[in-house]
Amino acid sequence: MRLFAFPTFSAFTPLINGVFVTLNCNQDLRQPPNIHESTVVSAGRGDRDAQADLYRYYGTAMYNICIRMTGNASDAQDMLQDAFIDAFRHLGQLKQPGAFGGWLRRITINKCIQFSKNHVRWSSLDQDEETPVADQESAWWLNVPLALVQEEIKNLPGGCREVFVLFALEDFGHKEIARDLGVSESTSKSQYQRARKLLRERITKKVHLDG
Amino acid sequence: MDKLKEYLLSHQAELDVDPPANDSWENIASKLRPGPGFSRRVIGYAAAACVIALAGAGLWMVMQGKKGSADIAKHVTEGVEKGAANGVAHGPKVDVGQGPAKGVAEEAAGAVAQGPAKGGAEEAGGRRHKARARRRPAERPDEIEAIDKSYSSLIDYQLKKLRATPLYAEDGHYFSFYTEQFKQMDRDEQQVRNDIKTYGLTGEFLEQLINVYQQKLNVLKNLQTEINKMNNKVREKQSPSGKAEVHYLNI
Repeated sequence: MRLFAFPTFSAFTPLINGVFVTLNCNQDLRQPPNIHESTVVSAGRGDRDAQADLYRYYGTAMYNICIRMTGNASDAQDMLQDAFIDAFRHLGQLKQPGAFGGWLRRITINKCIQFSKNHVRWSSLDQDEETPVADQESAWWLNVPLALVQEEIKNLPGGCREVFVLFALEDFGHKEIARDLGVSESTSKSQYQRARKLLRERITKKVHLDG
Repeated sequence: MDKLKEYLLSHQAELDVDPPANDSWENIASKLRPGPGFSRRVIGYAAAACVIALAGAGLWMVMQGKKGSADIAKHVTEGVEKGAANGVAHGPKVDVGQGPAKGVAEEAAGAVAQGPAKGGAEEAGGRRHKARARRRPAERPDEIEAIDKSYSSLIDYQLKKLRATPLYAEDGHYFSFYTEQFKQMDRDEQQVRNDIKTYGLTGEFLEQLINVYQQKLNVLKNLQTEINKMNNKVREKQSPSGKAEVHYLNI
């Protein structure tokens, strides 16, 4: 089982903090540092309010993982619900409450991977699409609104979308992607290149059209 | 690292622009809501276990009533009296312990050791470890009391019956394997009770407790059967002049 690399956690933390501050904006902001852990412990005991708090902390981030992986809101909603239900039902198995975020993220990704395995039809690619474009292109993404990037990731075709999300946003390696999605490593690499190419073309086109 | 990947990882939170549906939490909460509550489930298990145990014990008692120890004692006493009437004061002591009865006893004892008692104890131990991982605060000891009462009365009844059964073939030591088994179950029961005190009553603990009780009843049942067999052997082999030594089980 893959462990989360630190960057994934660090990228995730601002969101938690953001929501946490929003939730407590009318209260004393200097909450004890273990408030999150105690919420996890309470949620594990079946405390519905604590579970709702955790959902508020993590719901949006998990939903965005789901929608990027599935490409549509309806399936993403189902994945999100399944992930939270699984997490709350098995919360007793989590030994370190502080690791809840990463644990939940892993559950969510696993749900999405399972979904993808059942729904994605892998198409064969031309050899030239396997050519890495990473080093050939300029940093076209720097001035693109991230909301547009998110939108275009969701619009990527099935297969390359999942590989792109897992590789670029969830920090998986191609070996892990190949194993988890049941494809070859070279397929994972070529699908990633395809996704990058499509993203660039589509986003550039949109930016030009919208000025 | 791939520069696009690096960029996206560092701006991941800003990518999360899609909000989940408003009723999402309500849907999750409704699916998390258990149908029948925990305690109802436990009471249901407990009630079912009690009914099964009582039915089993009732059936067993009916079966035992037909070929009970009183019957055997009566026959053996008759044999002894006949022997005395024939004018022989002391006949040879009947040695059934070395015969087929002993084989049966060993077989039965082996079956108990390798079967439900030993296997059950190990299994129960394994489950206890698993249950420890899911610690719960102590709660609702009343279900245990209910089970306790019904099983305890059955076990007490059987123990009294065993203590009152005369042993014609061997003394109590011959059956020490069973008594040791019974003591081991006592220790297992105590362990489960301690776990319940520490971690609270869970379905698993309740199942373990019921298992231990059922194993206890099984051991007592096997012991009673074994004693009856031995006594029957005495009855069959008792020479008209034989006088059997009588012992009682200390369990």
